[in-house]
Amino acid sequence: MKLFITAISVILAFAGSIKTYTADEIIQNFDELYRSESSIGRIEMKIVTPEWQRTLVFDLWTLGMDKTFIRILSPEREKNYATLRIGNEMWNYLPPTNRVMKIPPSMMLSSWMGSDFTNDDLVRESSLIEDYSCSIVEIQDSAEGEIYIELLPNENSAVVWGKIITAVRESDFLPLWQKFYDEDGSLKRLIRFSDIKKFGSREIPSTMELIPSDKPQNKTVMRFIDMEFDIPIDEDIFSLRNLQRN
Amino acid sequence: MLLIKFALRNLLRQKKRTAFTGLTMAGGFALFSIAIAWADGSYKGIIETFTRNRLGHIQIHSREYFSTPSIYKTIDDAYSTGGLLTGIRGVESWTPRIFAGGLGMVREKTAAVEIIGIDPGKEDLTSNFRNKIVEGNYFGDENEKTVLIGKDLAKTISAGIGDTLVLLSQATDGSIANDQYEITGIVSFGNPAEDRIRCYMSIENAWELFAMQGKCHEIAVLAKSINEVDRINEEISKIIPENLESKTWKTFASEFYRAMQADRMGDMIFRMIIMLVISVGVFNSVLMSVLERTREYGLLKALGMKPSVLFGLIYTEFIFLALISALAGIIVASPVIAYLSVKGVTLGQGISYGGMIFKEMKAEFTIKSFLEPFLFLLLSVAAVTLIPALKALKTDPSAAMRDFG
Repeated sequence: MKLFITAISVILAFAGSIKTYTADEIIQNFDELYRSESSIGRIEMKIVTPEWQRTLVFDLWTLGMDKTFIRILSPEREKNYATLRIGNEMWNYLPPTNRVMKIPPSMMLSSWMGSDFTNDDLVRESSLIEDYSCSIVEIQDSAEGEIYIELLPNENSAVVWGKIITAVRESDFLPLWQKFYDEDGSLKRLIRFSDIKKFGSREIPSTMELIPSDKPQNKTVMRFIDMEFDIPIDEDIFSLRNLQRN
Repeated sequence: MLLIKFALRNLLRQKKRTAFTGLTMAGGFALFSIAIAWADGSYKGIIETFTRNRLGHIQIHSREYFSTPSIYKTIDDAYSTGGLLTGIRGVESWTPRIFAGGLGMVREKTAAVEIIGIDPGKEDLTSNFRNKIVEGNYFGDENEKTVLIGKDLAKTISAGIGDTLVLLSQATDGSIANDQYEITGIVSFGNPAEDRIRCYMSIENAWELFAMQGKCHEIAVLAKSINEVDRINEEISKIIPENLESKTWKTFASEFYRAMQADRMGDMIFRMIIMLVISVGVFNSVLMSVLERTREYGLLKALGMKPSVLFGLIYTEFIFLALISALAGIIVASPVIAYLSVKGVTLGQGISYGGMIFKEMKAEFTIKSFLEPFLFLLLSVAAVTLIPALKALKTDPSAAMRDFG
């Protein structure tokens, strides 16, 4: 009897250690990873191209899903350049000309400050779980301890990508990389996540490296220097008046 | 000597015909001379205007800039590279330039612009830039944020002297190039395509705007004489760094050069046709003259004159006439060419060529203007005399004296 109880205990304990998950749960986790009611952070963005490279340091404020404010701190040449996003609208402030320029819809897929991130990347407030159907798949070069999720756009979703493959760690579902494909199935860009750090109570990959497939010699590495999530933020930060404040 | 005496006597026997033939030759010669001098002068004027006022005779770029221009393909040390040129004989001046595309805004009006960074002093020496200003002033203090814009661009964006022009572009470090400048001058190149987009600033301002301190995209070189361009270009190619290349105007303005060559060829063909018509007239005179003297040739042959001497006599006669005509042609053409090369001809509204408007054209006084018609006249006289001379050689003395008695 004692042996039986022991055996049951071992089986239960083992069963308890097996994680059960669905693709939706993993993507939900990914969606919420960098999302919060509000956030303030300092980010370093290193942009590398065959012709030049430069490193931007900027402060970032977010409120909900639809408000973002960015002010560049360095390099000196670009100090105080700022970007404001409210919903689907976006403005850039250019200090030398003291002008606020609204980004027209035709330029939403243009580069943000010369990086490989587009204006659309900053503006987009879509949720992967809402716009895509997720399923766990096997890939050719799969590695031990990794899960791969294929995201295909829902029928009525207005999204840019034809397919996204996301690789996460099996242990904590933290992202490792994401591959973005166009409607023809061609790989367009790869984002690698690394350098997991704890900011407050959140543990997130603090470095994102974006490599566009059509420009393999280019890359943009974004590193979170500091982040605070879910803290009170003055709504006035997200205003055109603040945009022009040096 | 005897041949010349005979030839002269023969020429004077039919004074009127000789005079008409000579006049035809001299007139053709003079026209040919003036046409060459005019064409050479006009083309030289066009080339000089084209190169001296805009492009320069030689341009130095980073390799591949010429085929695929890019803001990143730069000459890294503009002034050191330019400094190398000062040691080359025949270099009159050089100037660095920066080129970039962008958007220009004055108040609510926007237009695409070509932003060109120039060294005001050197540019003026190389392309007479100051002369292009139609309103306002040239650059003053190099640190002032001022620009000069094209006449048609000013119209497009409703800009005038004193207005603030906002420029937006991309810098070489990937950042947004943007700044505002006071418009201090309006320029015109006589070419609407350029006047519609050009915006000039000092190279110092362009360095700052495009984050390219010390660099440039082009060094334009002006030679003292266009005839020395190829030699200077060879010397430049030897001394500039490996990553740079130099080309003459014939290459970087190849379309202009080819169009001009085609034009010159057309001109040459036209001149040839005129000379051909004149040759036919001369041929007629020579033939008439020979046919008229068939009996005489028969008699000379009957008296034992060698055919070669008879042949030489006929040739001497007409070559002599050609030489006299050429001399007369030179006497007539010289003052006309001299006048056209000094005074030229004003074209009123002007004619457009290679995107530029030319309002005055001049001839060029060179030996070529006389040498070419001279050789052509001798050759054509030699050619048209051949058939009559051969005809004279074949003269049967008995038949000639019987039939042409």
